[in-house]
Amino acid sequence: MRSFDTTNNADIIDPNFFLQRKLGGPAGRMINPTSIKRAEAALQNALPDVDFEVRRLLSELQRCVAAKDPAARTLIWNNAHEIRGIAGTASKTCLGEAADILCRYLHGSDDNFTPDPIVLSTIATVALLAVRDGADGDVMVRQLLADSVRAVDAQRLREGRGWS
Amino acid sequence: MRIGVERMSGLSNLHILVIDDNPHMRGIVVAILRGAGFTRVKEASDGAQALDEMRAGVPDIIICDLNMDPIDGLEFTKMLRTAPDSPNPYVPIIMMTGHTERSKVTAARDAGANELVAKPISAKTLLERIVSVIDRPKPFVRAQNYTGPCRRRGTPEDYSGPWRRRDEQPTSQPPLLEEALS
Repeated sequence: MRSFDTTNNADIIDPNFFLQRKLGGPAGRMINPTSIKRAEAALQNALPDVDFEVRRLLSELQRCVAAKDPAARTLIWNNAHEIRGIAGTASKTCLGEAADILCRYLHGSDDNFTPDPIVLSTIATVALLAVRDGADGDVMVRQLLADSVRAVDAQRLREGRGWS
Repeated sequence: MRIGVERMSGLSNLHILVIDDNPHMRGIVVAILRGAGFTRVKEASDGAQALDEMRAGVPDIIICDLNMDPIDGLEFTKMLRTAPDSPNPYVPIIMMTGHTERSKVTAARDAGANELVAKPISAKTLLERIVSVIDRPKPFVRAQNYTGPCRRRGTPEDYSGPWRRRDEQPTSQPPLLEEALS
């Protein structure tokens, strides 16, 4: 029989249905397929702004990569992270994946890390292809993304930062 | 039509605070919430501003990004759960994250987040998480090393695995929050 530690006591407070009372009933009845459709329509209306922002972040990222500035690592990481977060919502799944590959490459590196310029510019080029309308249906873009993942994993291994 | 108006007024009773340092991401979340019928939605660009907002009025639900500066979502959640002057340690927190690595998911769970939403977010996923924190609230745990919603997922009705309690059969890990990401 395993022994259990009983010294680390915890207070457990019962679930509170305050929000349901405040709402006047279960949320599941108020957030229904109709309200989800309304929310999706509202999201569609917000997308042009998001699309503009994605392109702005990408062009800033491209400039950093082209400048080969070792100090740009943080900006590249931040922009790639933001693009990854919002590109999918703006119906640019492949661009989100390209940004994710950049994050994958920079993951775990510190602010002083100097990224490999060839790997960076390769992924940045794929991202530029992926931002085009209709890129999500382009087989070539998909293939380039798969190749980029392999390239990043190989580069991380060369740098002694392979995935454990 | 009349029913629709009544439903809208129910959702408008809830006050939601959206915290994200990216204004466009905030805009997406706010658009989804307003579209669904939540009219009392406030915004903050980081944890520090959120705490200021909360002193003016405690929200009913917080939707928070994980990766922010200077106070990130994890630190903000821990502060809210444990600080002696916390405006409300029990408020449900839905954490949004682009990081779906296991370490990040576990960190969010251990900080005291109620639910996780992986980016890119969809209206359906976000609203489902909101329904979950309202209709299926979890017990709240206050222990030496953790303060927040009970980290076990599932109930006897929907959990098919073995249990770890002394009076139950041992032993395997209950499902993690990351199931929510699937």
